[in-house]
This record gives sequence, structure tokens and C-alpha cells, in this order.
Amino acid sequence: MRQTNNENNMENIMRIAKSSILMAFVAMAAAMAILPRPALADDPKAREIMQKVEDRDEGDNATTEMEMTLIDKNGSQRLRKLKTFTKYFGEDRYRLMFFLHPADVKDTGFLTYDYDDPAKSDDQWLYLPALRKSKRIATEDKSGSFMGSDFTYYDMTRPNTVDYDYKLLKEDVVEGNKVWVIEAIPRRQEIIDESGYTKRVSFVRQDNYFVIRAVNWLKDGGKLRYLEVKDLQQIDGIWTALEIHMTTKAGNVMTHKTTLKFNGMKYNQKLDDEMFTVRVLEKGL
Amino acid sequence: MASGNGNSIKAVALAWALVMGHGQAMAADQSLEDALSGFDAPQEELSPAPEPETEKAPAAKPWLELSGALAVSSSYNYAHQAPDTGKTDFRGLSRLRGRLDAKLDADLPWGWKARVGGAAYHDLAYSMNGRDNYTPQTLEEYESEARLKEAYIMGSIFPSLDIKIGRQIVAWGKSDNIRVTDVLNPMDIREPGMVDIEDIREPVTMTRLDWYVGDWSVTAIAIHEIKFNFMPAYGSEFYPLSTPMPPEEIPSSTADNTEYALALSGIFPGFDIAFYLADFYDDSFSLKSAPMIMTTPAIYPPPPGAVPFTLAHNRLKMAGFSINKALGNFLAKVEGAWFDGYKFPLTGEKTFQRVDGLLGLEYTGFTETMISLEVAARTVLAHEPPIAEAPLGVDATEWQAALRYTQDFAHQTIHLTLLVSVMGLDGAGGAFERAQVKYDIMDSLSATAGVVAFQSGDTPFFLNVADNDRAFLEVKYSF
Repeated sequence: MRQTNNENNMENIMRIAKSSILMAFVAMAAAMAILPRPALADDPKAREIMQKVEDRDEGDNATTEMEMTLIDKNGSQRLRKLKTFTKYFGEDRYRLMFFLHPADVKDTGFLTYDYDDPAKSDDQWLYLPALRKSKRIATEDKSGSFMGSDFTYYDMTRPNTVDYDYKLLKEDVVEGNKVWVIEAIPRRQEIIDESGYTKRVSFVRQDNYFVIRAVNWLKDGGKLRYLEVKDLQQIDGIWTALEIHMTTKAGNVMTHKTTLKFNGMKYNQKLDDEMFTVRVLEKGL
Repeated sequence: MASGNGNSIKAVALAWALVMGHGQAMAADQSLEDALSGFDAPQEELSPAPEPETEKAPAAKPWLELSGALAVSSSYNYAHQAPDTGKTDFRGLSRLRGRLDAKLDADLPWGWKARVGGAAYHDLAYSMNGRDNYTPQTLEEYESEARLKEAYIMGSIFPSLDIKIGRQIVAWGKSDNIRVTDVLNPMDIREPGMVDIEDIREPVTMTRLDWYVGDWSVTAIAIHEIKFNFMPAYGSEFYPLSTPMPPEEIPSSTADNTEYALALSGIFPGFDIAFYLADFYDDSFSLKSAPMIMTTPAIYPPPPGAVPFTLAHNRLKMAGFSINKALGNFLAKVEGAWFDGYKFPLTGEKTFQRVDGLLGLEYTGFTETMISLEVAARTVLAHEPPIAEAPLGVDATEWQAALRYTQDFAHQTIHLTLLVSVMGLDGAGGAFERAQVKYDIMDSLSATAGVVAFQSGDTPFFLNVADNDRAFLEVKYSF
């Protein structure tokens, strides 16, 4: 009988203990649950900022010489030089590029019609001097490397804000400039597939709505890609990045890096509509 | 009690979910902070701030530019058997070639341009193996060469009218691997599967006018230089027969023999389209029988001393079209052409029509990868049995397929290409496969290595080629 009482007492103690632990768990969980947590929905303020980024004047009728240095993890460097011409046709951006260096790809040309309408696929043609013909490129997948660099074809286009949910993470200061730090999550898998990125965090300068830094989470390989604008200047009143670095890292280790410099950037040049045609692509510079 | 336990489990599960959920959020926040701290250290922390750079103006383009490539290539045949006495021994080294390609481009006043290019090579393999081992035709065709390539002047006569005069290449059609409407320039097929893509078309002298109207352009071409495919030389590895070819009738490059071509091309969002007309000589030869031997069945081999055939090039008329259409990551290609004017050895002066069609599909949805499949059929209309029975005969319908796979690795420093080309639906016409890897050692310097394998078939190019399998290596410096 005593043994039974003892057993009952023990059982009560255990039950109380269990209940106490359970209550403590629930209380702790409830307490944590009411702490600030990441918002799951789109953030109107962040969206407004990113819309202003998208609407920022990029300049029109632009010409420049692009110098791209590709640096591998051992420090070996390769150089690419291109002459580029850009013109807006309404909201659609047309771009013509010619390789100047290295010699084995010199005179290769690339013409893109980057349509603002997200439902409309871009038009792209590549002129290969070895074949003496231009070739249409059909690709929704823009996650491929832009000429072997750390930039993808997607990086060379302007992301459409309707494709992302935004969240303002914080405000910060980068090299003396106040910035908003904004997270962008693709709304659909096809955007992830197209861009190759699962997430992007952008540092947007508060005075000019220019993204001066960004971190991209790569879909494959668990790597991160860091974009940094190293030289930002106003040319003809238009904020223009004249040097950009893109670094791919696995953990804290750089696996590849690309520096992109724009020399002789000019806006408002006399670029005929005819310039952005396969005719000029095939004739060359 | 059971109910109480169930509630407890639910409560623990809820608590666990809440705790873990928040824990994950905290971990994610930490991970995010780690990620955001991964930018390069500001330069001023690493070294004193540099003087602000003045923006560099691009160097002005020189009006005269020399460019080209210097290459050393070799190939090694690993499939040949020991030859019969007196025959060429093709085993082992088949190429050790130094080659120079050069072109001079000039920017002329009023936006006009000019180019002169040439190529020269010498192959040491023949002297290393013993020149006596080869037929004179082989040595003449393969040991050394120096040729003028493109040489033209081009410009605009009016804002919408361009002209280009001189030796040049005009590539018609949308396909990359099989020719249907690409009929204007002859090809170098002396070593099938081994010729670089940039050398496969041979420039010929033309006058070309292009008139641009909106999304359309009209191209009119007169071809003044009559030139045909470069074929394997008698006694060389790819020469299919044991006897020399009959004499070849080559029309002179006179005004009477001028070839003509007309194209209407349109470029639109999502698709390109072109229509073609041409009046030209077939770049491939056909056997033309001498009247005394023209019997059915053919007298072949001919009696000693008789020359029953000559090689002739039919004058053809062509009407064709090509379309490509982008569909997401796919590019669909369709080409079609109607030809009139084919003559065959055992059917006398009667001419036949042929209809060629091609379907192609290209997929670029995998990163850094392109897969392309093209299938073509060539059908001789009103085909007659003697056409197939003649030497190097032609079936009523002949099929060809090509599959190409390319992929880039390591930031486009390594390029893999796999190509399979098959004649006939069952491969009975012959086939070859090429696998190569190109490595960009540094800017303008590359090395390419690969293998080509051949399977013999009953089409002229693939007769007795099965033992020509080889490995190859090329180092190329471009300037």
C-alpha cells in the first residue's frame, strides 16, 4: 500500500514536472512567437523603392567601351573588350555589342531586343564571323554566364519588379552613403530558373536609387555572388556605374571574379534606329 | 488519459514548431548577416586611397588592321590496318601542319570597308612518313597550300542599299549542320569531319546588292567565279575508289556562266524568315556518261582504255525558304528547297527535280549548353531505277541527320563539342562522330583535342572510310 502511495506520489510529481516543462515550452514558444518575425508578404515601402530603382533614368542613345577582366581563384586573368550601343524604343531596350578583344572572338556581334513586357520573350542574334552569318538565339534561361564572366545574361537586364516580393531589411550606411537594404524573392520558380538566383539583397542608395551593392544567392551550388559598384559618377546628369565588380564566393572563398569597366561612356549620341538591326550586326563596326 | 497524452503531444509539437520556426528565422537572420558581410573590404582599409582615375577614352580604331591566327595541328590515325604492297600506309601520323591565316581590314572613306585575306600551310607529316608513300595528287592537294581567301570591298550606295564586290561568302539558311538552301559557296570536304568550320566554305567572286525596307531586305547576287567543292584527292585517305576519278568538266568563269541568286529576308519578333531563288551550278559533281556506254544496266567497270564517264556539274534552278522560330528555350528551324536540272549517268539528257526538306530543333534551356538536332530528306521526283543503279547512284529519297551537343565549363574556358552526322535513317549511308574539347589557355591561345570516328556506308563520301578514325590536337594563337 505504501509502495502504491509512493508510486502515486511519484506519478504526480512526474505529471507536474511534465506539465511544468510543457507549460514552460509553450510559454517560451508563445513569448518567442510574439517577438518581431520576418514578414512573409510583399512590403509596400520596399516595393516603392525598387520601383523607383526600375524607373531611374538610365540614359538613352548610349555608347561605351566595356572592359571586362575575368579573374579565377588562382589570380589568372583574361580580358574581354566590347563596344556597346544602347537605345530605348519606348520602354524596350535595344543593345548592340561587338567584341574587340581577344583576337579569337574579335568582330563577334550580339544584338538584343530587351522587351519591357514580361510576357514577351527577348529577341537575340549572335553574329559569328567564322560562319559569316547571324544566328538567332532562343533562350528564356538567362542564368548562363555572360561571356564567361560572373555576370549572367540576366544581370545585364533590368529585373521586372512584378516578378519579386520585396522586404525592407534595414537601413545602413555604405562608404558614407545611406542605403536601404532590400530583399527580393522571386515570385515564381520560372523566375528562379530564368535568373539562376533564389534570392537577392540589394543596397539601394537613398539619394539616387542606385543599387551600389547586391548579394545574389545562386540556385545551384550554394554559392553567393557579390556585386559592388566601385565607381559611380554622374554623366550628363545620369548616374552611371563606371566600374562594377562581381565576385562569386563559396563560403568566404572567392571562386571567380569579374571586374567591369566602362570607358568613354556617352549618352544622347546620334544612334539611328537602323543601327540596331541585323544589317549592322553583320556589317560590323 | 489517452486524450490527455494526445493533447500533450499536440502542445509539444506546436511548441516545437514555434520554437523551431523562430530558431530557423534566427539562423536565417544570422546566415543573412554573414552573407551581407561578405563584400570585399573597402579599398581604403587595404591601401591608401588611390588618386581618382580620369575616365579612359577608348583608343581610336586604326583604319588598317591585320588579324589572323597561327596554328599547329596534328592528327594520328589509329584504325588503319597494314596496307597491301604498293599502297599508301596511312597508319600513325597523318598531319603535322603549321598554318597561317591572315586578313587585312581597311576602313575607307564614307563608311566603306575592304578586306584581303589568305591562308597558307605546310604539312610535315608527308616528308616525315616518306613522300614516296603518297600519290602525286595527294601531295599536291594536302602537303602545302597558299590561297587567297576573302578579298572584297563593301559600302552603301544609298542609305538603304549596300553593295559588296569581290571574293566573299554568303551563307543562306538557318541550319547549322546540314545544307539545304546554303548553296552559293563551295565547300572544302577534302577531309570530312576535320575541316574547321571557318574554313569549310570557300569564298567566290560575287557582286552582292542588299536593299533594306523596314523589316525586310532583298539581296541580289551575281556569282562570277565558277568554283566547286574541294574533293578528296586520288590516293588520299578519304578518296573512296581505287581508280582515279574521270576528267571533270569545269565551266569557265565567263559572263555566260554567271550564277544568279535572289533572297527576300524578314526579321521579326520571335522569328526570321527568308525566301530564295537561285540559278547556279551544283557544287557537287555527278557522273555524266559517254553516249556509247549509256546502257542499262551500266557497263561498269568500263572496258580498258574507255572513258565512260566524265564528272559534270548540273546547272540547277532553286526555289527555297527557311524559317526559324523561338519558342521559349527552343529554336525550331524549317528549310525547304525545290531544285530542277539534275541529270544522272544512265538517264541521258533527261532532267529531274529534287525536293529537299529540313526540320531542326535547338534547345538552350540547360545552362551553358546547346543541343541541336537536324534531320533532312532529299527526294528525287519521278525517280527511275537507273538513277540508283548507276555508279555512285542516288536513291529516291536520301536522309541525313545531325546531332550537335555543346557545353561550356569553367567560365567558358573549356568548350565541349559532340557531333554525330548520319547518312540514311538506319545509318547505311555512313556516319561520323566527332568529340572535341577546346581549352582557352589564355587570351588568344587555345588548345583543341579530340577524336573523329567514321563508319562506312553506301553514299559516295562514306565509301571505305571506316578505317580513318583519328585523334587530333591543335594549338592556335590568334592575333
